[in-house]
Amino acid sequence: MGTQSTLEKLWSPVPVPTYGHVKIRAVVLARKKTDASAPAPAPAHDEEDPVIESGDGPLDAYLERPRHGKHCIVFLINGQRHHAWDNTFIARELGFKHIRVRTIIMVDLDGLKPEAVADIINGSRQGFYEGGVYASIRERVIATLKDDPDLKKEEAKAEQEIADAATGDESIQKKLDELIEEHHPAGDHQAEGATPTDAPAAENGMFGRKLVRQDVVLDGTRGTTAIGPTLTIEPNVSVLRLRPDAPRTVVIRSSPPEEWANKIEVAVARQTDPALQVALEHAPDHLRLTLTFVEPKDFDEDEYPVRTKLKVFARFKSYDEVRALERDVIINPPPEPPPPRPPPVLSKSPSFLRVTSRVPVKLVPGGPSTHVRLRWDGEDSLLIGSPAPWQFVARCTSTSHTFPPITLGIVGGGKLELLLDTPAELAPLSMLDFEVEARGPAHELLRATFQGQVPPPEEKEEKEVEAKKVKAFAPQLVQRKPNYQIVIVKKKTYDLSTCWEGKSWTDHEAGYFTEPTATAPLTLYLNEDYAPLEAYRAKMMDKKLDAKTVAERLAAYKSLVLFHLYQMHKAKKRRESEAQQDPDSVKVPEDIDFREEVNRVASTIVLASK
Amino acid sequence: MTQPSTIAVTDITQMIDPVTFIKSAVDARTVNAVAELLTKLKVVHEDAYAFDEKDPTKGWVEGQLHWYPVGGELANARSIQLADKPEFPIAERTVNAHEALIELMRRRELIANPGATPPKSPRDAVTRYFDIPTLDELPLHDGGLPPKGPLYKRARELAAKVRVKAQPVKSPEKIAGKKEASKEWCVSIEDEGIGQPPGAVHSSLLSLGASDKADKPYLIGLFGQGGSSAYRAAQYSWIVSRRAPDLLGGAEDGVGWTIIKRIAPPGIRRVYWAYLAAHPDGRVPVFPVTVAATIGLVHGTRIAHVGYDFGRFDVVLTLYRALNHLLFNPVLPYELYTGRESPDVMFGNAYRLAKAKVKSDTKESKQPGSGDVSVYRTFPEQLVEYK
Repeated sequence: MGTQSTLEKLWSPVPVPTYGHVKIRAVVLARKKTDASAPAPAPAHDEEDPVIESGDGPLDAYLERPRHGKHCIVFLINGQRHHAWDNTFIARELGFKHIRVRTIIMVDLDGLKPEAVADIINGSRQGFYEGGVYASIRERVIATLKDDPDLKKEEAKAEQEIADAATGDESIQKKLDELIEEHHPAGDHQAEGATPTDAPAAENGMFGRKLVRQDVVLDGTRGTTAIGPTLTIEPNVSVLRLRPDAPRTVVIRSSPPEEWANKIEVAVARQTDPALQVALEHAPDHLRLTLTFVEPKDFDEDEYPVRTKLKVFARFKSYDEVRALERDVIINPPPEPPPPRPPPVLSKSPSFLRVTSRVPVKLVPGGPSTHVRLRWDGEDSLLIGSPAPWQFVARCTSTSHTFPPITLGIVGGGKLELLLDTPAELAPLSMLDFEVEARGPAHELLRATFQGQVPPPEEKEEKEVEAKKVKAFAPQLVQRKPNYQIVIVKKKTYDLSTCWEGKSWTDHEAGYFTEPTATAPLTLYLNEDYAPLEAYRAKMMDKKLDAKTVAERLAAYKSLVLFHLYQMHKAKKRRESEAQQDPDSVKVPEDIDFREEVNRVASTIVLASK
Repeated sequence: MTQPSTIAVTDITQMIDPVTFIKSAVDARTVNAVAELLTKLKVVHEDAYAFDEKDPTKGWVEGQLHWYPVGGELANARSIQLADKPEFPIAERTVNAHEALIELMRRRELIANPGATPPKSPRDAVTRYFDIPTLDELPLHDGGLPPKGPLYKRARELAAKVRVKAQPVKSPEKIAGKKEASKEWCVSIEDEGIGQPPGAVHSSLLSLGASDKADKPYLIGLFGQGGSSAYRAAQYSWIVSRRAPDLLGGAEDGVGWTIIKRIAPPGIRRVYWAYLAAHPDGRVPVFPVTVAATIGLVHGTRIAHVGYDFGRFDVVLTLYRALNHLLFNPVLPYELYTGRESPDVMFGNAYRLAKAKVKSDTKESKQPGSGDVSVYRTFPEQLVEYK
């Protein structure tokens, strides 16, 4: 079969403190092609991959029973599966929602000590005993994968695939907004944000698109003294310098930092021209902004340096005035493009090993693993086997510190990485020396060294920032509106995204929604090739209705189904909140419930429209 | 109490023609065929011989075969009713077959070099005895992608030594109300491993938890009873085994054979699984070694589970996937027959995933405006545009 992977990584050995070590392998498969118009490849008999393995999604051919749970994280002892998790782990614990239906993770436990294996295994061999050993393994899997740059890249790519395919259908969006608006007074979306009853009226609004002149509070020297939090930026520079296509990240916090918990919302403003792209990543105590300048089409090099501004606004509970922060941004021309790199030439006799991560690498005490990139010119096959022809050993050479064993990760094509698990007790600014050695079968030795440093403690202001109230442009408050995006799905693109329970789209799925994430808003999916809708469309054609009527009816159907999806999202949030208070009696609906409901509603709307 | 040693072992060859019978026995793939075999034997009815764990000789009738509880314990249901899906026991049996191949090589190694240290793990054993890498590394060496090299060929040959067969057979009787004869399944697992001498079949293949695997780090299982759960899925099972002749170590050569079935004593809620025994100590009927050639059994074990209850499990479509997932990265490959003449060669999902060629970068997304998928936002994620 033609299944291909877009990413395959192996980490071995990954230490599990006191219990031995495990081996972790992650594979992300390419999306499955479902273009019915494409000619089917001639079936070829392959005794290792017979034709019977067909399925809906790319993973289906690799799952025990695709329709009975997605066991795509497997735990192996002697190659035998003894435990498995489904793909919700990938979405919830690792944060890779979009690639969860294409990812398989193998955790090989053969490196555990025999007593640890005896402790975790059950007599039935189906499922582990979920005690201390299990918890430690789980922790290691999360620490290894959660911050993996390659998985993050795959996730971003998948998310981008949806976002890049944007087209407009203003009429549907407008209708949906109207529906939400009409139901506003009784609507449940007011519950979002947990507005306190004694909060200022402004809290019921939200930032709109327009900047209007108003009172804002910022740190500075001019203006009248104000009270309440201000916004800070890290690194605290007055000018942010960028180059095209080179992302730069800054962190926005509040001063005092604990006020961040009381923020109602944050907005970042950018000038529409030039095209400075801003990606936002929300964290419990800060907002991370990644700025990237992408040259617009027909951009003239003489326009460099480009000068623009970054503006950040926030509103906090109990304070009426918007908090603001502003920095100049200067984009300089790109450096001379380097000559194109030849593809790496890999050899059975490698000649170099080097660290390609920026040094000193950042060590995160007690945090997720630090991924240190390496390059060498050895063939991948030199790294496999028992024992592999080439052995890698990495260690911390700073004698003042005891550093846990370091894991080697194999990306392939000459790319390697080391996983550093920094002890929690390591002090800020500690600088450690590391050494990695590759030893060949004929005692060849390649060595690379690098340094790692624990970053300085988060800077705390010595004195309270002087908050000043000034007149400035800041976002106008508008009536609270939900932030969502709509994805129209068609038959040809059933494989672009997943549907309920991580399954592929079919003609029998009317719609779907995904909860907002740090990088994407609530997403409402509508299947334009839903079978009853298709039949309805055909019927209207048979009746020879005029194009305008057909368009209006279809828009009405779409906006109603989308509105229902939106309502289901709100209902789910509400039930989740209730379940937190009373977990024993409140049941949060599951995908299967929503799936049936939206299909029922969509069919009813079609029926009522006929 | 009668001493078991004073009771003669029942000689099955006195009841039937050994060659004719053993041929029928290994061809018995339906419930009816096994029942037919039983009619040819002198078997004490299960109600007539109430097994007494303290005195198995009580009620024993010399010259006849008896239904003897698997593992020598009447309360064996707790050890047999473990699996909750029909494919689990098949995976366990396959693992047992792999162990039989490894054990064969280990014993031969010890004859050649009595001081040889045992392999540290099953994978270590496979590398030492069969000279193939971990299967998921095979594609990187030479085997996974065309052209397939010598390592792959070696692995492929090894796969033929363990054969898992899930064969549909049609029961001759029509079930009332159904147009066609019902389909029943026979699952058999055949290995060319070490096999067991007839006198040890009851204490090894038919034991429950009496494994010495924990002391053998090169073997896979820990409890030595996973495969027994297959008995509960079948109406009958049969076992035929022969120890490799060079590894008899003084034991009698021959072919051990028996049938296993579930017994529900009348008026008692407890069920148990029992096999045909030829002696109160649990020994199974023995065929002379001359019959081995007639069934092509040089050495190794064949176990068949007849009338296998797959429930709604679609064997042809699903067993391949299920076994590849359960034995995700098996120490050795094997063959799977699901009702077809040619086998699927099973290397496990880890191997299959390693074969999935890495794509450097796929830019398959539609460009904005292409019309196939439309995405639009009410406004950018908390971004405010201004002039």
